[in-house]
Amino acid sequence: MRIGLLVYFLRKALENIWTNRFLSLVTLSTIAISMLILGLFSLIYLNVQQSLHQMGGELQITAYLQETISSEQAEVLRSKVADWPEVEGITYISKEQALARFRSQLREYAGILEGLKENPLPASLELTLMPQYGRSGNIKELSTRLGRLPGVAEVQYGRKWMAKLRVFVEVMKLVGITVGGLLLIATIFVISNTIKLTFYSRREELEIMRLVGATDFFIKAPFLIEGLLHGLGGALLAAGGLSLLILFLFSHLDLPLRLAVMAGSLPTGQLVAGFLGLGLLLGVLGSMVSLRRFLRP
Amino acid sequence: MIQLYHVYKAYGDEQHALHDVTLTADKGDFLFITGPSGAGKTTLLKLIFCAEQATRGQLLVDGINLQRLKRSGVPYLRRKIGVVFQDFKLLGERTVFANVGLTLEVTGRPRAYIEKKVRQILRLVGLDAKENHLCCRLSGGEQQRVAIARAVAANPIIVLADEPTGNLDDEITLEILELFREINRRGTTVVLATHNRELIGKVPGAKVGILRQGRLVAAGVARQVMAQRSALEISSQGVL
Repeated sequence: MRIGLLVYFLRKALENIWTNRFLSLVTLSTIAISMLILGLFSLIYLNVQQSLHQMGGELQITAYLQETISSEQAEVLRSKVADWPEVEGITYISKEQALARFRSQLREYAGILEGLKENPLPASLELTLMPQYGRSGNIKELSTRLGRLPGVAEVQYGRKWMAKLRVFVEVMKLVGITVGGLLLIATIFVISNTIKLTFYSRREELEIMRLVGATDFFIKAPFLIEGLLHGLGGALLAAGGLSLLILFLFSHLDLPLRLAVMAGSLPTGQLVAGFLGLGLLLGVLGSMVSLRRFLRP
Repeated sequence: MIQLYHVYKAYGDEQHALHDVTLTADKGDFLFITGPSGAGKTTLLKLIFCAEQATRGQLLVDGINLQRLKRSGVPYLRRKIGVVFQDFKLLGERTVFANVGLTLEVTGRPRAYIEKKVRQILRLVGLDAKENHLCCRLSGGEQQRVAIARAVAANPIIVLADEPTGNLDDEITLEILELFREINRRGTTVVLATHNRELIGKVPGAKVGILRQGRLVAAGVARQVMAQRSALEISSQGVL
C-alpha cells in the first residue's frame, strides 16, 4: 500500500475521532478500565504463581536445633540425616549465618538489628528432598522422624500453606478468566458501538463515496484504523495506570508485605507488551464486528 | 459503449419498471432518455451504474457484462461513469473543492494531482472563484455545476445525468445543458434523463429513447424521432 494512502486513512481516522471526541473519550476510558482490571488480575496471578513455583522447586524442610547443641553435635546430626534416601541435600546454617542472611534480606532496613544484645536466631539444618519424594506426599512422616532426633527443637515445612496458596491461585485464575473474558467482550462491544456511531454520522458521505467508485476496503480502512487507535490508546492508558498503581502500592506497603511481593518478580515489561497487542486486537475486532454488518451487499 | 438487450427490471411481484428495453449508445453519443414521471428513466440509469441489477436481459457497459460483474468489480466500473443525481447528492457542510475532490480521493490519487485537477474542472464549470464556499450556501444552479464537476473530475467515459435541470429556471437550464454539450464535445458519452422534451431539440445530432410505463416506445436520432412523434400526435388529434 502507498504511504500516501496510509496517511490519508490515518488522517480520516483522526478526523473521525475528533468529530466524535466525547464518545472517543468514553471509549478510551472504558477500554483502559477494562484492561486495568484485567492487568491487575494477571499481575497478581503471575506474581503469586511465580512465587509458588520458586518455593515448589525447593521442596525444603527446616529443622531448628536446640540452643544447647554444639557445632560438632550438629555436624554428626547433619551426616546422619544426609544418609537418608529421601534427602537430596542438607546444609547446616549456624546462628551467625542465619543472622547474616536475615540482615541481607532486610536490605536498607537492616539497621533495626543493630540494637540486638544477642543473636535470637537458632542454628538449623535445611533439607532439600528428592523431587519424587515430594510428590509422594510423605513429608509429614519425614518431619516427624526428624523431630524425634535428639538436638532438634522444631521442624517446619510449608506444605499446608502452599496447598492453600495453590487453591487460591486456581480460584484467582478462574475468576480472572471469567471477569477478563466478560470485560474483553464488553470492550469489543464498546469499540464496535463507537465505530457504528461514527459510521452513522458519516453515512451520507460514505454512500456518495460508494457511488463515485470507492472500494469496500477504501471505506473500511479508516474505521479499522480508528478502532485500532482506540484499542492502542486504551491499552497505553491502562499500562500507565497499572505502572502508577504498582509504584503507589510499593511505596505504601508495609515491610513484610513488600518482602513477600518481592519474592516473586513483576513481569511488567511483558504485561505492557501484552496490553498493546491485546489493545490492537480488540480494536480491530471491534471495528470489524460493526463494519461487517454495515458493508453487507 | 452502452448496450441494453431485452432488459427487464421488476421490483418484487409488481409491474415491470422496465419491460423488454433494447437500446444502445455509442462512444461520443449524446443520448436523451425521456418520458413522463414513472416511465423508468431513473431505473434505466441505475442499471447502467450498477445501483440496481436487471431482472432479465443483457446489459453491457464498455464491453463489461453487468449481469456477470462481481460485487468487487462495481467500484471500478463506477470510476468509468460519472453520475449527476437529481437531488445533487452533495455534502452540504463541505466546500466545493472537497465535494469535487472526493471522486479523485476514492481512487487514491495524490494530493497534488487532486488540487490541480479539481481547479481545472472548476474552471470548466465556472466555479473556480467559489472553491472554498460551502455547498449548502450555493444556489441550485451552482450546486448542479458542482455535481457535474464531481461527475467529470475522474475523466469518465460516460456521464449519466438524472433530471439535471428539473429544479432550475430556463436560463440556468440552458447553461447546464451547454455544460453537458461541452463535456460531450470532449468525447464523453452523455446519457441525460429528462421529462423536458424541449431540451432535446437544443442538442443537434443527439439520440433519444422514449420510455412509457417501462417500455421503450421510440428510439433513434432525436430530430427524426421527435418529428415522427409530433406528426403522430397531430394526426391522432385530427382523428379525435
